[in-house]
Amino acid sequence: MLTAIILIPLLGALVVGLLPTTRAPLARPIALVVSFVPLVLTVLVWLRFEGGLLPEQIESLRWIPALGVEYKVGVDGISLPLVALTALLFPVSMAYPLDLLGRERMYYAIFLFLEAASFGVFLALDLFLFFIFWDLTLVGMYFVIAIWGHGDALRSALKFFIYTLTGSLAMLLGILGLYLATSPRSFDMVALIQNPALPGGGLRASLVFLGFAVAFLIKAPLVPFHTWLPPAHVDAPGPGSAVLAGILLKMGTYGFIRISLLMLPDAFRKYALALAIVSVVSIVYGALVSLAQTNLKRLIAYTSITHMGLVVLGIAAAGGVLGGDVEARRVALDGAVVGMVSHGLITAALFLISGSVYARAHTYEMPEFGGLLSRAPRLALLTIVAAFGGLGLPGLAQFVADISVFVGAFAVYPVLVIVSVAALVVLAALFLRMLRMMFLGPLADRWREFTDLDRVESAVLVSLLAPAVVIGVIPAWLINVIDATAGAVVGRL
Amino acid sequence: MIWLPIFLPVIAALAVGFAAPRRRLGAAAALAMAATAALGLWAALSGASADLAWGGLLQLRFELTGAAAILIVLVPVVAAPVIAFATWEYADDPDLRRLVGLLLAFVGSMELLVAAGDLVSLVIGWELVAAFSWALIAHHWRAPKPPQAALEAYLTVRFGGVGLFIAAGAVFASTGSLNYAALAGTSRPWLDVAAAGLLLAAASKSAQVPFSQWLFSAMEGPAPVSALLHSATMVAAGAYALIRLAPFFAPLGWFGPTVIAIGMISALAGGVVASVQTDFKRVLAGSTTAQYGLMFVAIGVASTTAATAHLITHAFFKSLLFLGAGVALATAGTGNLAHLRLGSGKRVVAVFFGVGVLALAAVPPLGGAFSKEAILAAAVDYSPWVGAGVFLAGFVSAFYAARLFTLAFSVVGGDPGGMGSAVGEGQGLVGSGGSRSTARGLLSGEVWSMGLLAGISVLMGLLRVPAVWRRLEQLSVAREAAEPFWQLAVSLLAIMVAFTAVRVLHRRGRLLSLGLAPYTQARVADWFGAPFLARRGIAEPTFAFAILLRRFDDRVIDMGVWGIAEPTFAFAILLRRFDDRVIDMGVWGIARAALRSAGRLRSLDERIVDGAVRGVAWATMRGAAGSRTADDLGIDGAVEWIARASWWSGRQVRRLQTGLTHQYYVVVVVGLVLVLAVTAVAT
Repeated sequence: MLTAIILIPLLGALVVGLLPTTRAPLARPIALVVSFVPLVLTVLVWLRFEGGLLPEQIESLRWIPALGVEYKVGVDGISLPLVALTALLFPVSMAYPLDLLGRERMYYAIFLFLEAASFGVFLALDLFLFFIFWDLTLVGMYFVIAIWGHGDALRSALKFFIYTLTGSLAMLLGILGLYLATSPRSFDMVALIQNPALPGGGLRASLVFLGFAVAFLIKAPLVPFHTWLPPAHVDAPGPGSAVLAGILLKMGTYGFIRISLLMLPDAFRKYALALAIVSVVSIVYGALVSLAQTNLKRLIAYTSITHMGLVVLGIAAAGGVLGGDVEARRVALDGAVVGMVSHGLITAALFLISGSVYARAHTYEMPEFGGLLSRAPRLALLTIVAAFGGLGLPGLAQFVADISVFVGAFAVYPVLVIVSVAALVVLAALFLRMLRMMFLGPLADRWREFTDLDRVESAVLVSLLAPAVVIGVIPAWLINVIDATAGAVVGRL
Repeated sequence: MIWLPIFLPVIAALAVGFAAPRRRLGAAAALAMAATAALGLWAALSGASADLAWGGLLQLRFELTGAAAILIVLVPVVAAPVIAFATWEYADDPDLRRLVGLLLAFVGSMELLVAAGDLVSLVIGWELVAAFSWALIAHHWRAPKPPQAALEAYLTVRFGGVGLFIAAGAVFASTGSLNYAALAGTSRPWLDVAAAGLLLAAASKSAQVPFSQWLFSAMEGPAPVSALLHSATMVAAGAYALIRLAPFFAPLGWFGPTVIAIGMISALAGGVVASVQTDFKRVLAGSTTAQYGLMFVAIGVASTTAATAHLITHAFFKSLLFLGAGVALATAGTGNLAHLRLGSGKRVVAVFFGVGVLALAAVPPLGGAFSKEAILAAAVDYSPWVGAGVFLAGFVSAFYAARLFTLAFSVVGGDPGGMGSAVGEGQGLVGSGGSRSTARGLLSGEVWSMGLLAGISVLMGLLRVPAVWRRLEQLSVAREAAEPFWQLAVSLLAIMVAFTAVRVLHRRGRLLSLGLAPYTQARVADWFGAPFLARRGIAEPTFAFAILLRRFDDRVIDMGVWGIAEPTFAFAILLRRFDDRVIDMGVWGIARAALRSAGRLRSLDERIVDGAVRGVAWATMRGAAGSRTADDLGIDGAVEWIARASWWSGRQVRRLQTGLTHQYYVVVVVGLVLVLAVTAVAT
C-alpha cells in the first residue's frame, strides 16, 4: 500500500512525460486522476493505523545488502498526517489553473515526480532511501521554479537549489556519522529509533546532531538560514509556492522529529534550549519582517518562518528536559505536528490566492490594490478565512497548533513562550493590514475589471480551507493519531 | 443541552446569511435570540455541563456555574432588541444580511465564552468575539476609515488576549489540567503568572486604562454594533472572566489591589473623558470604560456579586443609550453634540433615552442605582479611600449622564456652536454612516426596541428585592458588607449636585466646552492624548523596527549568504583561470609546440622537398623542351624565352605574398640559404 503511494505518481510521471505530442491535452486529466489515487490509499492507511512508538505497516525489500541499505517504508503518528497532507496538497495544486507556457506534459510529469519523492521522504525508514528522496525533491522543485516561475526565476531557483543542497550535504555527513556508529552497519531507521546509536550525547553525537540540525534548519527554514525562501516563493508559480511551503518545508521539521529527536535523544536534550532559542527568534523575527513587507508573497513567505518556528519550538520543548512535565511536552509535540498540517493547508491556500492575484494583476504589491472585495467577493472571503487562519483564529487549524505548543512549551521554557506569544499580535497586525490594503477601502479605478475566482480556483481553495476548519473545530481525529506516537515518544525520552 | 444556546445563534447566523427572507430578518433574528435565551435559561436551571475531548490530553469543558448562568440568558435578551433595531435602521442597506448574520454569530461566540469551563474554551470564545467585532466594526468597509479602526480595535484586544495563552500555559504547567477548577490547585509562581495573564486580557477587553481608546476606534461601526459590543458582548467578556476567576486568585496579595487600581483609574479617567467629549457615541464610550472600572473595583474588593449586578444593569441601559445614539445619528445626521438638538420632536426617544440616562446616573429606583450602591458599600467596607473613589466616580457619572441628555435633547441650545463645534470637527459620526447624512423620521421598530430595553432597565430595580439579591449572591462571591443607612442619602445628594451643576452650566452656555480651551478639551476628550502616544510610542516604533529588520534581512543576513557564495564563486573563477592558463597551458604548450613543429615540417616537406622534386622535373622538362626549340627559334627564341621567364617569375613572386607568416619565413629561410650558398661558392 505504502509502496503504491510512492510508485503510482512515479509511474504517472513517466506516462505523462512520454505522451506523444498529439496527446498532450491528456496530460492534465491523467495527472489529476493519478495524483488523486494516493489520497484514497492514504485514507485506507489511516483507517488501518494503530499507533505507537515505532512505525507500522512496514514494507521492505533488500536493496544493497553489502552496505546494509534496504528499501523500507512505513508510517507512524508523525508521518501519517504529513503523508495525508501531501496526498491532498498535490492534486489540489496541480488542479490549480496556471499558464503552463505550452509545456503541459513536462509540468505535470515534474509535479507527479515531486509528489512521489515527497511521499518517499515521509515514508522512508532507511536513511539511505530518505536521503535519495530528499534530494530528488530538490530537483523537482528546482525545475518548477526555473521553468514556470516569473521575475528572476532562474536565479531564485538556483539559490534555492544550492542553498538546500548545502544542507543536504551536511545531512549526508550526519547520516554517515550515524551509519558508522551502528553495528552491524545499517541504515535502518527503525533499529536506530529502537536503539539510538550514539547514546550519551558526546562529541561525536554532537557533531552528527549538528549536521542534521543544519540541514533541517535550512529546510524549515529558521533564522538565519531562511534567505533562500523569499526569492524562491516570490518567483515561483502559485502551485509551486504552495507545494514548497506546504510540503517541502515540513521535511525540515519532520526531520527534527524523525531523526534528531528519535535517533539522537541525548544530543537533542543537550541542544534543545539552543534550538528553542533559535525558534523563538524565528517566530518573532519572521513576524516582524513580514509586517514590513509590501509584497504579498514575501509577506506570506516570512509568516512561514514564524509558523515553522512555532513547530520547532514545540519539538524542542518536547525533547527539552529529562523526565517530569511529560504531559506538557506531549501536548507540545502534538501541537507541533498539528502546526505542520495547519501551516501546510493555510499557507498553501494563501500562496494559491496570491497566484490568482498575480494572474489578474501581474503584481504582488499590496499598496497598489484596495477595495477588491466589491469586485471579487469570493476571493476576498476565502482570503479572509485564510488570513484569520494564519493569525490563529479559533475554529481554524492554526489555533489548535498555537495553543497546544504554547501551553505545552510553557512548562519547559516559560520565558521563551512569553516572548513568542507577542508574535501573535504582530501576525494579527500584518494579516489584517494585508486584508485592509487589498480588499477593503475604496476601489481604485485600475481594478474595475478585476475578475473574481473561477470555479476551479474556488473549489481548490475550499478543499484546502475546509480541512483547516474541520481540524480547527474537531481536532480530536487528528490529534489522537499524532498523540498515539507522540505520547510514546515523549514517554520514552 | 448546553450546546443549544451556543449553536442556535450560529445556525441562525447561517440561515440569515443564506436563506431567511430579507423582510423578515428582524423578526427571525429576534425570535432566534428569544429562543436562545429560553434555552440558556433551561440549560442553566438544569445545571447542564459537557466535556469535549479535543484530542490528546486536551479536554474542553462547558458549564453554567456562577455568573455564567446569568450571562447565558442576559446576552441574547440584550441582543434581541438590538438586532431587531438594526434591521429597521439599516433596512435599505444592501449589506443588511451580512450585518445581522455577523451580529448573530457575535452573540453565539459570546455564549461560547460564557459557557466555557476551561481556559482553552475561554480563549476560543475570546478570540472569536474579537474577530467578529473586527468584521462588524469594518461594516462600512468601502470607506477608508472603518477598516483601519477595526484593525486598531482588534490589535488592542489581541494584545491583551495573549495573556490568556500565558495563563493557560501556567495553569497547565502546574496542574496538567486546563479546567477553571484546576486554578484552585495551581502553585504559587504559576498562579501569579496566570493571574497577571488573565488581568491583562480582561483589562484590554473591558477597555480599561491604558487600553480604553480602542472603544473610540470601534465607534466606526454601526450604532447597533456598539450597542451590543459595549453592553453584553466583547467588553463584558473582560469583567465576566474576572468575576468568574478572580476568587481563585484570592491567595495572591497583589491581585485585589491591582484590580482596584486599574478599575479606579479607569472609572475616573473614563468619567472625565465622557464629561468633556462632544461626540454622542464617544461620551457613551467613555462612560463604558468608567462603568466597567466600577465593576473592576467591585471585583478587586472581592464582591463579585456587586460586579455581576452592575454588569447586568449596565448591559440594559448602555444598549438602550447606544440605540438612542443610533436614532440621533440617523435622524439628525450627526453625532456632534454641538449641532444635535433633537428636541421635542423626538419626545418618545427622549423619554426612553432619559430612562437610560437616569440609570447611568444611578438614580433610584432604577437598577443601575442599586448595583452602583452595592459596589460603593463593598468599597467603603474594604477601605474608606476606595469608597471615596467610587463615590467620586459615581458623582462624575451623574454629571456626564445629565450633560449628555441636556446637550442632545434640549430644544433651545444654551450653547452656541463656538468651541464645541471646533472640537467636534473630525470626530463626527457622519463619516461612519457614509450615506446617511440626511435627516429622517423615526421608525416604529426603533421605538419598540428602545422601549423594551427601557422597560427592562426599570424592572432591574427588582434587584433591590432581597430574595432576588440573595439569589445573585448564591451565584457569586459577596463581600459581607451592610450598606450604611446614610450611604443612599449621600449618593442622592451627589446626584442632585451633579444635575444642578449641569443645569447651571447649560444656562451659562458652557456645558459643551466646560470652559476649557478647545485644544485642551480635544486632548482630554481623546483619552488625554493616549491614542497619539500609542501611535507614536508603540505602533510607529514597532513598524519602524520591522522595516529596519526587513532591511537587515535583505542586506545583512542575505549578504551573509552571498558573503559565502560570492567568495566561493570568485575563488572558482580564479581556479578556472588557473586551470585554463596554467595547468591547461602546460598541456597545450606541449601540444601546440608539437603541432607547430609538425606544421613546419609539413610545409618544409611541401615547399622544399616536394618543390625540389618538382623543380627538378620541371627543369628537366624545360631543358628537354628548350633543347628541342633552341634550334627552331634560335636567337629570336632566346629573346622570347627571357621575356616569358620574367613574366613567370613576377607571378611567382606575387604568389609568395600570401600573408601567411610561416610562408614568408620559408621564403626568408630559403633566400638566406641561397645567399649563404652563393657566398660560400663565391668564396
